[in-house]
Amino acid sequence: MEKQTLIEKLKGQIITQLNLEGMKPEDIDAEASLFGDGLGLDSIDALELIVLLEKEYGIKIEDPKEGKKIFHSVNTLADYILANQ
Amino acid sequence: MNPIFCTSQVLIRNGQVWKNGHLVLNKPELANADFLRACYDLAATPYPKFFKMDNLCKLAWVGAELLQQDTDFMHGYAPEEKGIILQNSASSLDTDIKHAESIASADAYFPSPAVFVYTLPNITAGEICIRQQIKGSSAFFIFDAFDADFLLEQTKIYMDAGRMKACIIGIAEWIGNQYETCLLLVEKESDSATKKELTPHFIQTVYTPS
Repeated sequence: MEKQTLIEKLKGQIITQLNLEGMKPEDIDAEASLFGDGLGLDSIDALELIVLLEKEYGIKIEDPKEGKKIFHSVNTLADYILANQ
Repeated sequence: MNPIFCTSQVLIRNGQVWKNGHLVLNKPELANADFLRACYDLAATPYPKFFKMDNLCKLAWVGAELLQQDTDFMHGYAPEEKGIILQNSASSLDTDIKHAESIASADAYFPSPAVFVYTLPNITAGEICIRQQIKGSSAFFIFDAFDADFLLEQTKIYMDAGRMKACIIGIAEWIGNQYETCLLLVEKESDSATKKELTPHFIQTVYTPS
């Protein structure tokens, strides 16, 4: 799958999975931080993203320390999925 | 035990919201999810976390939000002076069932953390504590039937012991398509003739189990 297509798909999945009410994919900056100042996701959201990765893309994160890098932004998440599918 | 006083009350059920005996929202035609959204809009408090809550939590949260509006509860007490005591009979069973369904199949075993986190009724009290800045006593009791006497006694015990000066008490129930919440804002002191002494009889005038 082309990266830009994946990014748009991920934005939609994140909005649905995390119940981001009223948000549209175009509201999410692919480069912006998912946690902290960016989208402001919390620890439960982080766990939901891990489940999303496994359920939708068949990818399990083996090393939890990688999580911070992988889930930094929609862009880094897309890179990880493309590299591990 | 010393008397305690009810400052305001909210009752939500059957598509209606009653505050202090006045009907403030009447939408029995709405599906439950839409009704909860209508209650949230009525509260008019932007709170994105609301949309991540389960139904029980949304119901009690919006009830508490409406309850404390036009009162001093949010800012008139130190957080440690405020408490919450809730009860119901179904616990968090509505969400427990959703969680159980998500792990029922070994082939599609994908428990949702966002669902799982609400599989305890005291999380409902916790969400209200976060929003209402409550850092005093917090409890969620499970009984077969609504027990006004117990609720009143517990509240008085905490207040007489100096554990809190104001408290949200009541019932919050959600199971399947059935829901109701009746919350009362209770204070140790009364400086107003409009505050009613909290008695079992008074509670019965506000809430009768459906």
